[in-house]
Amino acid sequence: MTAIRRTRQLVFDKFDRHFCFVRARILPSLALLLVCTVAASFAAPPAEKKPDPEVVYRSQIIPFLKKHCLECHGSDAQEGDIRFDQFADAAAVASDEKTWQRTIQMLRSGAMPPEDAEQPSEPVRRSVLNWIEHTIYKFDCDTVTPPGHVTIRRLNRAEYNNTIRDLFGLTLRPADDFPSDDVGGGFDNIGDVLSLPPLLMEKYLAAAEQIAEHAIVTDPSQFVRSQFKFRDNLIGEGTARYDYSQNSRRWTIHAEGGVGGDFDFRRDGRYSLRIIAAGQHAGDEPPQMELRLDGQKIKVFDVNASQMRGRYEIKWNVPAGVHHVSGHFLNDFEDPTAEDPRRRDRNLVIDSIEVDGPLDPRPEEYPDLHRKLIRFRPAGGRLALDAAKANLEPFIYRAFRRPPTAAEMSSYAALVDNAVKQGDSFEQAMQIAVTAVLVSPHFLFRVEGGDKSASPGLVRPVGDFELASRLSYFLWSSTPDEELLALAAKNKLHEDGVVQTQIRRMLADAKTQALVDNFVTQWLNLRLLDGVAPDPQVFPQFDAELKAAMRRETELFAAAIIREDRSVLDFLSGRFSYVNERLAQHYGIDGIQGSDFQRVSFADNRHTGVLTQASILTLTSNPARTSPVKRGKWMLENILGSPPPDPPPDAPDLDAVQKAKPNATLRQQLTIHRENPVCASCHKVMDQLGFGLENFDAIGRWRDKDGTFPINASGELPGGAKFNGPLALAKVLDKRRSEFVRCLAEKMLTFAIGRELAVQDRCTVDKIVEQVEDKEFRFSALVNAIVTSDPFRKTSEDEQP
Amino acid sequence: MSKHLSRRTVLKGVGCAMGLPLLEAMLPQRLFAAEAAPPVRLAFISFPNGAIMDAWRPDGEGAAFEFGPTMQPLADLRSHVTVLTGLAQENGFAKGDGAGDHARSSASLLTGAHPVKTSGANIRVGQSVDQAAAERIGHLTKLPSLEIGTERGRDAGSCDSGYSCAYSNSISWKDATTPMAKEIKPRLVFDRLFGNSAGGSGPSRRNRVRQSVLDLVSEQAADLKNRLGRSDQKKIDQYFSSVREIEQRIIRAGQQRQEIAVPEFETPEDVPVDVQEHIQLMYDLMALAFQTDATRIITFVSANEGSNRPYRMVGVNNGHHELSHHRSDPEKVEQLKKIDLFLVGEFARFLSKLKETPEGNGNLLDNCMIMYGSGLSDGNRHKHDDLPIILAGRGGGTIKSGRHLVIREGAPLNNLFLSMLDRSGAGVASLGDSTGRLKVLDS
Repeated sequence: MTAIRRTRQLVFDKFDRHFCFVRARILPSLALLLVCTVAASFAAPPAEKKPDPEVVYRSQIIPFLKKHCLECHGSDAQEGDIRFDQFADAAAVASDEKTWQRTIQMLRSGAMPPEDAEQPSEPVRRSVLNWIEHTIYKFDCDTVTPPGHVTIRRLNRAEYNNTIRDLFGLTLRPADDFPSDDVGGGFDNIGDVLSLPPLLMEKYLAAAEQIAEHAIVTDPSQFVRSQFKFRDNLIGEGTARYDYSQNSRRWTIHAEGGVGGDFDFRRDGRYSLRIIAAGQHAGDEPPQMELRLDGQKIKVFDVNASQMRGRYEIKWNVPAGVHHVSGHFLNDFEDPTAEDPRRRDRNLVIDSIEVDGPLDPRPEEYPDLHRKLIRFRPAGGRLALDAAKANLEPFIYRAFRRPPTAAEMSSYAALVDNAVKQGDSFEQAMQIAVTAVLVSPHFLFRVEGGDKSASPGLVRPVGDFELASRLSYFLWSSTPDEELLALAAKNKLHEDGVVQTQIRRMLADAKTQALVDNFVTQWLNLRLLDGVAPDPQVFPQFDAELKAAMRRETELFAAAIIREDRSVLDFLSGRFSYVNERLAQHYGIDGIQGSDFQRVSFADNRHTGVLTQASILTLTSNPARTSPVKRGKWMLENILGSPPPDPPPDAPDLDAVQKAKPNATLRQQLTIHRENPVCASCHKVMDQLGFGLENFDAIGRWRDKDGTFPINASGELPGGAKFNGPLALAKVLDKRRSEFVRCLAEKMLTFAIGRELAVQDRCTVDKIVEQVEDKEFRFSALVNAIVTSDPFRKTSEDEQP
Repeated sequence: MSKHLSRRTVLKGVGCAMGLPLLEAMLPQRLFAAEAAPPVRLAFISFPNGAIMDAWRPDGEGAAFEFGPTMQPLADLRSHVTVLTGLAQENGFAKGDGAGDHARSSASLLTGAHPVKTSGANIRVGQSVDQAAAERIGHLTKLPSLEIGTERGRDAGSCDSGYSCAYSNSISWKDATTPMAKEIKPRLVFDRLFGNSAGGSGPSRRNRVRQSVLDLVSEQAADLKNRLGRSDQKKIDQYFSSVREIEQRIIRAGQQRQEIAVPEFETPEDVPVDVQEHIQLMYDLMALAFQTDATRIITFVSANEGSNRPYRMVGVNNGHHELSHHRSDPEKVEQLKKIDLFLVGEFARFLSKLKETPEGNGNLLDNCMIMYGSGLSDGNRHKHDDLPIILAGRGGGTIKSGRHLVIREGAPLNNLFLSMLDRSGAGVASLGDSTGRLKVLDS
């Protein structure tokens, strides 16, 4: 009963989420007591009577409207073309979603009622908000809400690169040259938004061909080992002299003698022995060079080359071991009387000696990746068709993230077979099959379901293989590994204990860097830092290196929260970070040297979580000055989850004020701006939040003065919360931690399931927030709560066409 | 390749200010024998955030007009340019959808359709004029159409007031739900146009292999489509039609008389840091594409709608979008004029290049129709009517250029598009909100 009541209180009445949270934490023993009592009388849990929306409208909403709204939005005035006095009952409210949606936005962000009017208490504000939401959206968390259908998701650029990395162990990043993936709902992995225009298909095909060429060797000479000796790595005998006085460095053999070196012949096999040589010519025959192996004659070459070097080469069977390969001059000749002074002396010139081989690589000498993909060749009565099938089965399993069907296997094997029949080698034909796997819709899209007989809207748990992909692309932005697939194959992955173990394992893996790269950088808008360009006249010290360091700091900070399973509240109040020398100088921190990042702890009154990191401070500034408005807006959108409404198109801007009062401080200018009621409603929240960070300039450096004006970093929010400076601001935000956790949960759920949240997802988010609060806000609790939620674990069948 | 100059000749480092070579041998060799007269090329170039109209709008009408100050760079090209006043893209206006004018401006510019306000599900606007053309005449060239830009799509947060970034990133839409992604790296544009010579295997094996691969995956897609529900099917449809386009390209390659000569053209490995260099490279590539007839249809987003980048090369250190909400502040207006002038200057440089390239009995520009414009006129107040629109080129001699045409009663921009499509052999009955042909262009 308690549990039920508490849930209901949280999800339906929601008078005060924060209040509930505190009660739940402070009074565990009382809660336990209540559970026991309730257990005793379990037989008849009285269904809590839900208040009738019509009754609430008359008893609570109408009085609220009268008190706070009707003066400007009633019969006398209709500011913004909004009036509230004409809604006869709750049903009338429900029929005008647009008006009331806007009302929710204004109320939630604190934009309304206006600053100078009487403010409702927090519980009342929340209760009114809650009633409006339930009335216009008509959802009820006590009934089962559908998990929703996720449109099949195309791999985005990051996912494509990571998937190729994990499938092949190749570090090619082909997707870096793909067109950008469009963003919806704040993220670039939303199935509905990701499209596949011809340009992208073209790139998929080219990338697949490139990968197949890297993966499978068609010409073994590509990887035959080459050894090469020249200059003083060679040893001269007899009259051989190493000559480095001229431009060309070379060995010259003037009379008898030779040049050679020791080479390692890894095993018995066929090798290519090669001498790069030339001759000085005299008399009527060219210089003759004898190539010797361990002093034994192998072959005599006429060295006709003179200016340009020639390649003198023979293929020879050599036993394993170290052997001496050398070239010797056989026919010295001198004719001091020759007419042409350049033809008086015959010499041999040797540049280098090379050994390639073994030239007949054995199967085990092929690269690992090749051997993994070509475990069988057509030989000894085995048909190409069968060899192809045996090779491709495990590969397609990994690539499609599920076992391939018999029909799929046949068509891929036939593809190989046909290519062989057309004259391709088996390896070439296998490259074609690999290409065809990598451009298959089953690889490029994460297909779920596809059971035509299922009725639309039918809710089912996702299958184990689907779950493996969901987990893997959520936490790793990559394809599931062998372990996930093996558990899926045994139909065990969905079991509670198994999922928990897997999440722990996955979060401990280095691949969770993907959560930073893809989730955090989008949630915090960190990716937008790339496009930020501070005014070089105002900030000459800002450069690409500093920008990169700023971004790195936030990435490392987020990675630490994930790795150490810290409280997500640390994003706001963590008193540590990572800096290198450049960034430390920027912040005025002493004693950090070098370009490597080091962890630092803060005991100052400046640094707290991501709020005070230069990355965030810079990307929320104007080119030449700070923008408390942008910083406040960023906090409302990404920390508190109540984005302010868009400004009206004719809103006057700040510079007009600046023109009129050039001597005013930024804060004074904003105050003047807010005197305009059109602006006041939203700005009173945005600006105040932003003021708390005024001690940081537009590239995130601490300052006590702005020009000649001392910094005033104080602010006050609707409802009376006051603060001065970044730490106090963080404290105010920490008091609103439920809003922060809800915001973070909404963003992460969106990222995890790849669709925008809908109204009915409210109930899911409520549950997630509750679970995170119960587990000391640990990062892993958030991940666990999302993974166990219905939208992640279940799916509604898509509508029929 | 016979008569063509070899790949490693002529064109060098166009990065800065070099003209295209004027050698006859580099001129387009029709891929298909049938055509006699030079084909008409279409390009649509957009710039963001509107223009300062007072400095833009010409004085006078008809043949007797004076360019506005920010259009001055076009003075030398006057006889090849038609300035159009009075055209509108009404579907850029809110129509009850609230804020988001930049997203709507970009989405409606070439479609004349009103985008569905959504940040995720159900993205929908309409087919754009370039894609309507590509559908009809795209099969005549190696690439049916080319989509390029200079800025990547925004890759985090929201693009514009509840609109998915798909709307602000693309002006070209293959159909109502498929934005055509644009290429921003000059090197990759070059590779697309002049084809990465596949190492090792010759083109005929490569095409045979590709065909067999695409056959197989098309079957898979057909099978999937049968099994999936509605929203999933849309995605498979996109897959299908993209695969089909590549297949058709392979078939066409088999019928080609000869390969397009690969011009020598230096492109940096990465996107140039210098914005001006980047814009110039893209224009140079457009000129090359038209000159070699690798494609006849190009859209170029010179900067994404709502772009906030500074233009430091002309002394503008503030962001373009933020400046565009100038509220008549004279300093900001001056800065914006500098941007307008700069962008027109680069456009004029491109036109000159086309004009200097002989083709048939005239020059390449004679055979082009290039719309240059913005989906916003007054960026400050987000107005989508009375748009700044220039039409360059003579459409193969079908346009009497050198005039300022004023449409007093106003007309949808899409009416101009219908007239352009007619002249390029890709006529359609209607497109988006078109109400008819733009008659004044025929006069």
